[in-house]
Order: sequence, then C-alpha cells, then structure tokens
Amino acid sequence: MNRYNLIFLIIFFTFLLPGLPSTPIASDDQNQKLNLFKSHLHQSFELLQNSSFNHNYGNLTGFKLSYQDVLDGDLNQTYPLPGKDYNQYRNNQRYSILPDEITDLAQKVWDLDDVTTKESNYFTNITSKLKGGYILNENKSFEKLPLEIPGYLLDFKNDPIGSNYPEVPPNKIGNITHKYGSVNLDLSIVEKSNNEYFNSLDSQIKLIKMVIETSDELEYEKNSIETVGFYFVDSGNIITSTNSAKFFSIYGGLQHLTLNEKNFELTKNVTISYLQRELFGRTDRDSDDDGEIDVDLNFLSRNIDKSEEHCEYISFSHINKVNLTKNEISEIDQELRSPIGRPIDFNKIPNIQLQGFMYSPDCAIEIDFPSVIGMKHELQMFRLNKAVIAGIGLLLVQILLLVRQMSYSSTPSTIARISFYTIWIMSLVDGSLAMLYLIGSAIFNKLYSPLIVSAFLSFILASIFEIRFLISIYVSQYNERTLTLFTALQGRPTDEEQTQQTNPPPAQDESQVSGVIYTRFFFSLMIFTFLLLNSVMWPKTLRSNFEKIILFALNSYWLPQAYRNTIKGSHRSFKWWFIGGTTLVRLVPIFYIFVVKSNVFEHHYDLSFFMVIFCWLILQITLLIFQGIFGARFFLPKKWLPKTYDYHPILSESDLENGFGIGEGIRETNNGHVSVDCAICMEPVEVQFAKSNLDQVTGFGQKKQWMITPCHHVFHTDCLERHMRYKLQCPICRSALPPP
Amino acid sequence: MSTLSTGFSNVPISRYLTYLTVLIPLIASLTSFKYIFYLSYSPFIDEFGQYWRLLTSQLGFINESEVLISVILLYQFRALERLYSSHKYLSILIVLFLYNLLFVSIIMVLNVCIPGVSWVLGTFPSGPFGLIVSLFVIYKNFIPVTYNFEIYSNKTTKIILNDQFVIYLLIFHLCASQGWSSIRNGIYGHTIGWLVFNDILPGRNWRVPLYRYLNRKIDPNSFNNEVHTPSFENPESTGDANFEADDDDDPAETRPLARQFLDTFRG
Repeated sequence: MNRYNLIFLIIFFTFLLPGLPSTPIASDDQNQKLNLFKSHLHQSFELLQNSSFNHNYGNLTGFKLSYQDVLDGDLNQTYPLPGKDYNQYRNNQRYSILPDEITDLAQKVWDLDDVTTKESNYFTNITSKLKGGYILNENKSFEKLPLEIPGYLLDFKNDPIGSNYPEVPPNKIGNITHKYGSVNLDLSIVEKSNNEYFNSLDSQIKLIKMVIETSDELEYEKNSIETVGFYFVDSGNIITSTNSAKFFSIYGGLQHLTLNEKNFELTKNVTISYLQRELFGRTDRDSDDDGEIDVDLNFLSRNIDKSEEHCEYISFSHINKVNLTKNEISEIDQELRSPIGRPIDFNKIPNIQLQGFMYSPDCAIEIDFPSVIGMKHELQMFRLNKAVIAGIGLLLVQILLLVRQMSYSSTPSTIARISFYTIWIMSLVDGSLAMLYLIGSAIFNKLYSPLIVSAFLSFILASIFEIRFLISIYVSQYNERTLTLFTALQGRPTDEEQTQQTNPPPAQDESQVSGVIYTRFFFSLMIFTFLLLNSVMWPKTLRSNFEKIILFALNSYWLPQAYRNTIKGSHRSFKWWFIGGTTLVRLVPIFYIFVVKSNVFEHHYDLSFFMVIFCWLILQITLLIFQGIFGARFFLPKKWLPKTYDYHPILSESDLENGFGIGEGIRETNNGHVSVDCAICMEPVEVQFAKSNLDQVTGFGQKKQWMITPCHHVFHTDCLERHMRYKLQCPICRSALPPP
Repeated sequence: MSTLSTGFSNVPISRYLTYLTVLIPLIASLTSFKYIFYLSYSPFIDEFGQYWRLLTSQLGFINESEVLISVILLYQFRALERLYSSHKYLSILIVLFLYNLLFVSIIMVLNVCIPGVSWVLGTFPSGPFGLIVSLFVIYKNFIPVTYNFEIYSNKTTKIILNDQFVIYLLIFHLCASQGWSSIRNGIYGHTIGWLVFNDILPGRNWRVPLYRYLNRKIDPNSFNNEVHTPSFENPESTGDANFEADDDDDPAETRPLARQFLDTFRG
C-alpha cells in the first residue's frame, strides 16, 4: 500500500470514528446558571426526601399548579399560591395535575386483574421491545397545563425566540395529531447506576426506562419520547413520565401519581437510592453535603432542549400475566442473564403484553395503547445471535467459493473473460456489510464477538479477496483494445482492428493499479454506506422504494458478465458451481428478510418482491447458461455478429494448395485427410478438408478435434486450449492469438 | 527438544487433535454455547438430569490459557505419534478418552449413591484434562530423556533437570488451572494412564478398525505415495516433498485450500 492510500485511510477513519464528546463552550453566565440549576436540583431532592403522600407537591417545578387551578384560570406559577392548601393531597384534580377522568382511567388500567394466583404471575424482568398500535383519544378535550421553564434558565442559550414561546409550536415532539398509528415501547430495567448494580432480580419495585416511539402509518409524524418510571412486580403496573427542566416529575411528582400511599413510599425510596447513586453520588462525603451534583452543561442543555421541544407525558400501563409460576419466572430470568443450560424451552417463553395510555399535561393529549406486545429482550438477542452466526456461515462459504474461483481464473486468458463489474458489485455489497457489522458491534454489546467476527470476515472477503481479484482483472484487461458493444457489433474481424490501433496505452504494473482501485473502492464504499445509513431515516414510501431499487440493482451482478461474454465472444467465465453457490449465498438473506414472517430484523413480509429478485437472478443465470450452450452471442441476429476468429474453419483443397502453413511434416492421407504433427504433444492430428467449397465436412464433432490458429498452425483442440489458458501466443511462431 | 521436524508434517492425528482443541472452544464461544461444557453434580445431574454433560464436558476447555497449554502439550506429544504410528496413536487416544469418560461416570454414580460426597467429588472441570494427563503418562514412559542439565545455585546445591521438565511444568500448570476439580481430574487421568500402560486395564492393543480405509478417504496422499520422488526441477522444494511432487501441468487444480488462501496474498 502506498502513501496515498494510507492518507486516504486515515481520513476515512477520522470520519468514521466518533470524536470527543462535545461540550458546549460555557460562558460565565452559563456556568452561573449551571450552579443555580444544581442547587435547584438539590433543593428538589431534599423536597423529595421530606415528602409524604398526604402532603402536596410543594415547590416542585412543573407541579405548582393543579388541574383545578388551571380550570379556575390561575396561570401564575408561583409558590406558594395564595389560598392553596399545601398540607393535603387527594387523588383528584384539586390537588393533582391530572384531570379526574385521567385519574379514573389510570385506576381502571391498574385494576385490570389484581389477583395473583400460583399459576399465573407477572414477569419480573420486563426489558423488551414491544410493538403495537395507538389510538388518539379525541373524545375528551383537556385544558392545557402551562408548564414553564424556571425563570433563571430562560435565556440560557441567548436565543430569546426559542425559550419563551406562547403556544405549542406545531412541530413539537410528542404533539401527536394522527388518530391511528403504531407505537414501539422500548422497556428497560435500569440495571446499573454509576457502575453499581441496581434493581436486584428479586426486588418488588423496579426503576425502569421506557422510550415511547410513535409514528403514523406513512411515517410523516414520528415521535420519540423518553420516560422514566416504576414497575410494580407484584401487580404488573407501570407508571412512567418524562423529565425536563420544566417538569421535575421524578422528584416527587410522579410518586404522587401512584394513587396510594404504599406505592408512594416504595417509589420514593427507590427514587432516593437511585438519585443518590446517579446524581448526588458525592453526598456521602458528609462534610460537603451541599452542592456537589454530578451534572454538567450537557445535562442542563439537554434538559432545556427537552423542555422546549417535547410535550411532557405521563403513562400508565399494565402488563398481562403469564402462565408461569414465580419459580419458573425466576429460573428463566437467571438462565437468560447467565446461561448454564437449564432445561428451559426458549420457544415456550410467552411474550410480554402490555396495555395502557399516556397523557400529556402541557399538550393536553391522551393516547391509548390497547395492546402492545413483544418478546423479552434477551430472547430477541438470542435470535439475533443465531441470525448473525448463520451469516458467518454464509460468509465462509462465499470466501471458499471465491478463493477456488480465483485459483481457477489465475491465468491471463481465463481472467480476461471475467467481468470487472460483477466482482465490483459483490465487493461493494460485502464491503458495506462489513461497515454495517462494525457499526452493529458498537451498538449491540451482547453480540460483540459474533458481529466483530462477521465484520472481519466480510472485510476480508471484500477488501482482500475481491479487491485482489479486481486488481488482477483490471491489470489483465487494461491493455485490451477498448471494444465497445458498438464496434463489436459492427462486424470487423479482430485482426483488422489490430492494425488500426495507434497508441497502445502505457502498461501499468500492479502496485499502481492497486492504489487506484483501493482508492476508488473505499470512496464508493463510503458513499454507499453513508447513503444506506441515511436512508434509514427517510420517510417510509421513499425508503421502501429505495430499498427495492438498490436490492434490484445489487442483484444484477451476473448481467455485466453476460455483457462481457457478448463482447468477448467467450462463454466460459465463472465455474458453474461458483455461479450457483454465490447466487444461493446471496439469495438466502433476502429470502429470510422478505419471506420469513417472524424475522429478527422486523422487516415486513413481501413475497412478491422476493419473487421479482429471484426471477431476475434466474433470468440472468439462464442467459449465462444459454451463452454457454449456444455461444455467447446467440441472441443477436447473425448479420450483426462480428467475425471473431474461428478456430475450427472448414478447410478446402485450395487452402491446402495455398500452403496452409502445414508445409513441412505434412503427410497426406487418402480421401480428404491430412495428417499433421501437433507441435505440443507431437502426436499426429488428423485434419479433414473439403474437396471443394460446396462439399460439407462430415461431422461437426470431428471438426472440433483440431484448431487452426490465424497464423495457420494446427494443433489438437485440447492441447491448444490448455496452452491458451496461460498464454495467448502461438506456440510455434509466437504471434498473438485471439481469445477463444 | 526433539529431533522431529517442526510442524505437523506426517502426524495427521496430532494435527487434527490440535485443530479440534482450538476450534471447539472458539465455535462454542462464538455461538454462546459455552455452557454445554459445564458439569457438576448439582444442579445438572440431580436437578436437571442432563447426563449428556458427562460427554460434552470432556470435549472443550473454556479458558484460553488451558487451550494454549494443551496445544503446546499436544505438539510435544506428536513424538508419540511418530513412535506409535498414527493408527496406534488414534487407538490409544480413543481408549484413554473412553476410560476417562467411564471414570468420570463412576465418580458421578458415587455422587448419586453416597449423599454427602458431592461437595468433594461433585464438581468437574470443563475440558479433556484427564485425557491429556493420561497421554502424558504414556509419553513419559515411551519417549526417552535426551539430555540432563544442572543448575547451580551455589557450590553445594544444584538442580538436575532434563529436557522434558517443561512438559512436567506445563502438565502441573494445566492441572492446577481450575483448582481442586482439575487437580482431581488430573489424578484420575494419571491413574488411568498408568493402569493402561501397565496392562492392568485392557485396551492397549486394541486398534481402530478400518483405519486404512478411512485414512485413504481422508488423506489420499498419505498412504499410496509413501515413497516420493522429490522433484529436482524445482529447487525450492526442500522440506515438503508432498506438495511439489503433485505439481503437474495444472497446479491450480490440485493446490490445497490453505495454499490457495496464501497464494491469494502472494499474488
């Protein structure tokens, strides 16, 4: 590899690798605000520690007004409100930020089935991805609860327009307007906090994170809402809410919404121990109880962004029971966490099903999830692992096939028949696979080793074997006369063209070519990978069309070969097992993605598109097969065909008289046979000739026994073909031979 | 240490054994099926009844260091294969493996029958510890010491070591690697090796049937072309006559796969 490649690679990886985490440049003013924010957090934390269920929220940002206050027209968020009773709390809109209808609905969802029997229980570990549909509840209309960012943070970003808006801007995240759509819930139990284990397997209440992603059918409106909350293992109930600079729900607000005092105390204790580890980690240095909070400017600006751009949400939901005993559930959880081969049939582990709703106080939206269902996260990972392992098998098969094919096409004449672009398309696919695997290995920690092995293998396949092959193809075809389809079809014999050729291009050696090809390859690979990654974020219709076009184009890899066969007039390029094997290896993933309904990539079912791809490949292979049987240009009309040199001409007597190069060593035998010695094997060749031009030589097969070069030398077909695999040069007089 | 040529030339059984020693743990770890190598009385036998673990726990190591040490040992043991012939070596391997399996099973039966014993005898290491130690017993009885050497610390004390001391050291290291359970398995293996070597347990003279037939199928070059005429046209062919003698006019067709791999890089 030369210097330019190295520089190119360095630049390439500089773009790919993530840089340092960017911290916004802080002005003094911002630092001051950060300190204010820290003390604000600390104050809220103290408020949480001292709170009890029967007391009101107190001076908690986002919870200063109750719903009744808003109905009464009180929009002034000050503390304490004149005349407000802070020493009581009831589950109604006089005290709560939720309207009574929502509180009733929450009670209804949570009371769905309250009896825990021995046979059916709730899952303990509910880390999973669930899918389902949502319905926007348009029947009820609620009053918007004004939530305002604390005054000292207003102009944090020196951007007065963004911070104090009077109305909800239409593009606010979470402001759902489509009536129906799909929802993805990404539930995860917080397992570690500041590198310490949290939420032990058997605890009865768990702190969870839930990311709610909604989108309408055509994906014009996509929302992603991050919430934090609690899962009550013994009742299967979940409550979560968003958090931002204007809505400090985790500091006591959310706990009040858990409807009764027992839940309040449980959630309060969990929250305190969590926050102590996560944010107030340094308070155990007893002397300095006051300010050290693990918060930086990033955290603050994220919180401000959230409060500006998001609707706040509170969600209530309930997990359905599964028919397993508590013991079975804990066995399953332990096996999934650290597998030792317990006799558990993973296929029989039931799915997690959830129903519930979410409500936004500040956007006044209520959304129902009638049924959201999904598989436990660990099971999903196991399935992904299986798919990746199968992919490794396919990659290995492809590497073996390619290596064998390369060793077959190692001679100039065999490699000259192979199409550059066929291998190019394959290497593009494999190279981008390597990139995707590499990115995947950074995302999926649990699948790191199989993914990194796949990335390695596909990278080896693309950038070493295939590029290597490309380089040798390029080198062998570089000095080729630029033969386009047009000139090929004009019908000039190849001999004539040789004389017209004026400037043979300067010969390039392999190292020069490899530089060029590596650069081109990595450049197009980079562009292609970025395009692919970008396309994930496109709207649905555009994305699916793009996917179809790209897949169709990438599965046309035999087409350049058929074209090259036509141009070169040769029909033996790749071995048949290579064509069949490669097609199969590359078709299996497409089959899996498009036809297997429960595939791990959650791709939709589309049999017809798979059939299109399948038929298209079959068509290309059939073309290659027909070219093998009927000649490379069988589909073109005869008169278009150029005269490639015919190694099996019909000889006539006049040819013989013209001294057809067979002058010496000629032993004429009777009735139209001439015996010549083949210069390669020194055995006699029986050449048949016609008495006159009209006379037909007896058999087609017999004619194939010998070959006559343009320089009029006669050889056995086997001998000359074997020779021509290595050199396109006449063994006797060293004049160039046209490829067979 | 020995006069054998480097590499695994002409020791196919050692070669395949080494491949397996490396590949089985590698594949198991890649497919996250490492747990099939675990074996202990509780909970696998008494609760789950997974008797297949008796076999699988003998197949693969789970730690890299054990794999590394056993590969080094198997490489040294190839002297035994040269001495024994591949056929006899394979036979004794199978015999020792089966005896080790039997021994572990007997220990497991003890666990089932006698209630209190499982906290002493109930755990088993993952990997063929017993087999390697048994092989080592055969090795040290057959392969003679080539030389001794002395290390003086001062004028009065000296340590006498021989060329095999590294192997003793490695065996010790291997057995100690999983603590009590692997030491115990090493002792089982040593006992079995000793019993088999002294013909107290039968099986030393048993041979794998149909070996010639199998061998020809696996490796057609090894038997028929015993007597090679090294090709003199090619001066590069020094050690491995096996390769170069096969070079007919179409080298592409007969190159082994590993060579094709390498040739791709050589260009």
